[in-house]
Amino acid sequence: MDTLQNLLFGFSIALEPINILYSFLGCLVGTLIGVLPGIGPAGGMSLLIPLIYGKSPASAVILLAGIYYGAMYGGSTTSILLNLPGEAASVVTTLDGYQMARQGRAGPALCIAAIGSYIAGTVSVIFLMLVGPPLAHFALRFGPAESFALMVFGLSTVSALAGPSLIKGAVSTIFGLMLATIGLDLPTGLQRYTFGIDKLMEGFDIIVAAIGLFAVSEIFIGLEEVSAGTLERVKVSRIWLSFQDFRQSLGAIIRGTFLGFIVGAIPGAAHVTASFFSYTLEKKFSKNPERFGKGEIRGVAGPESANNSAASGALLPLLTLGLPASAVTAVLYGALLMVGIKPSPFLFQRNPDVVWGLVASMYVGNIMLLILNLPLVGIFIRILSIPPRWLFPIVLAVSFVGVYSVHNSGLDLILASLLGLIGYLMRKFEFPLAPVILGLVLGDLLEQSIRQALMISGGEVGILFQSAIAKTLFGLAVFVVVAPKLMQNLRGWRTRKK
Amino acid sequence: MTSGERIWGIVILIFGGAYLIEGIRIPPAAFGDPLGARIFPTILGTSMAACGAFLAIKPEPRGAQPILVRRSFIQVLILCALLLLYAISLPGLGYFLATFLLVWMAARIMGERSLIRGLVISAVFSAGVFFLFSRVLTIPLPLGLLKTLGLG
Repeated sequence: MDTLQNLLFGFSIALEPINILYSFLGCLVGTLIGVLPGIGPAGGMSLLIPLIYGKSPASAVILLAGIYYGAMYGGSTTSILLNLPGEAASVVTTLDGYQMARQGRAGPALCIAAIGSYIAGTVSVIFLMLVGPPLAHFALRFGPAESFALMVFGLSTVSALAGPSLIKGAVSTIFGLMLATIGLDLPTGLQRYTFGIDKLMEGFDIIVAAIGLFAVSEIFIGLEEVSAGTLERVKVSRIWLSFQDFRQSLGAIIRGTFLGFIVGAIPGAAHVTASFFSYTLEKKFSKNPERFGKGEIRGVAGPESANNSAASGALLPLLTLGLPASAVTAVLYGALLMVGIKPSPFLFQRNPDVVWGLVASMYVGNIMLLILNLPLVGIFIRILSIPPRWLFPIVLAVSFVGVYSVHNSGLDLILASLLGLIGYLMRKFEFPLAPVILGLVLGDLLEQSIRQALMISGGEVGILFQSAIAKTLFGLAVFVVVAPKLMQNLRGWRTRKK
Repeated sequence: MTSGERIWGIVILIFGGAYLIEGIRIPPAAFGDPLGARIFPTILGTSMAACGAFLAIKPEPRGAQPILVRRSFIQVLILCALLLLYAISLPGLGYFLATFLLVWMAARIMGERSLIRGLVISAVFSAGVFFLFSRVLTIPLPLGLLKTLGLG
């Protein structure tokens, strides 16, 4: 009953008029940031840090957390409508969301994204309260070797399942990992693949890659269709979700919520991995896996839920252990320090107003986001009625201002244009695009974790396979690569026998 | 049609090889860091080259996706060149002018016929984005020529 009392205490803080206002403000700004490409949640939060000066710690955290999950919500909108992922995690949403939009089902896609996010957000807050502390300790057992195993599993899953061809999936994944090696190698301070260009030292930004590969290449494809006269105008068939759509998606939402929360709590894995995992899980266990990538609503519902649930999961190490485990929580960590609170394993005891106020404000914020987002669906889908000869240039300009704002550098624009061309060719020759992004996101972590593991063991490779967690994950990684081929051979063998 | 696939296998093989050669030039591991900065890129380059070789020898069967059409591919290249030009001229021209030109020209390529409508929409849109990002969100965008002319 302790939890309930604490939660009531939290609500008494979150429902103070001033905090409701901050929560609303945070959600609104967050949605805007999510919709605009380029400024991800972490960037948006740090832009608005000056606003929290002189506010009470609880209000400050409520405002920033509102921006965080508001951005996670908003990120899906442009992904679905324009194939323009506003942040890395919504790359997965483009796969089926954009296809739905092209079939005139943008409304249901946006609705299920909002509803899925709402359910995931609310349920994951309950997880956060109930299983928070034990799960945080489980997450701590993820040393470098286990993280490495997890990422190998993630990458092999995506390579194997992203497209029809395993080898092409592998090429895409390796390409992403290669992009990740560009820049300064932190442990040694050596420059790799920078070719003497100083600005490349900071590395290849994920947003630049996501916008280049997805949005710019989509516009190239669009241009081709316009000139060939094959571009079909999207006819909006319905705005709202049908009950059947909802029933179909509910399982995906629930699975996505669980998965997202657990992956989100693991340091370093981040919500990008969560949404990728959810997508591949849905595809793998669907009765019609061939429908994924062609406008399957579960392909939107699952990852979007996982994404939001991972946002709560990521708060877990921060609140229970005082460790920022991702870029966003690192900004929150900094903000807490600024308002005079030292995050530590004792945060729950020393600053219950902050922790429980935050937890309660997440309930409030999720409802607010649903109210804010559902009516906007009708407005957003009108974007699609802009004629393509104007829609495409406008999307280009908006994406480019997003790319530019990452580092204020023209070089990023050049990289995004070139990646647009590469993405266009990759699409033409059926190389899947999504693994490139996951490779880029995980590349650094992957390399650092295996190097750390080997530093600890003094070069002994055995350390990678010591723990049960790592062994299981490696086993699964091999399984997902081998299984489809094996099943095929088995089936072929059976039919031959007959 | 597998010839296109074979070419891609070779392109990937060469790319992987070039990456590998550049990777070998990274200084080897130092004390206390058994893998060092070199091994990981070496592994990547080798596996990429291997995938390329595999695709070149045994191309994947093609799906239903139509292959490149020369006329439309040239248009794509023109638009890509326009984007590169935008990237290079942005600091000099400033955000508003460069974006105005990009949007206007891109719309022309995509088939906008009316001159006046094209100019008006591009101008209003560029000014709107400039205002939203630089004034509301306080993200610095280059002023460029407007500043030189004293209008910023």
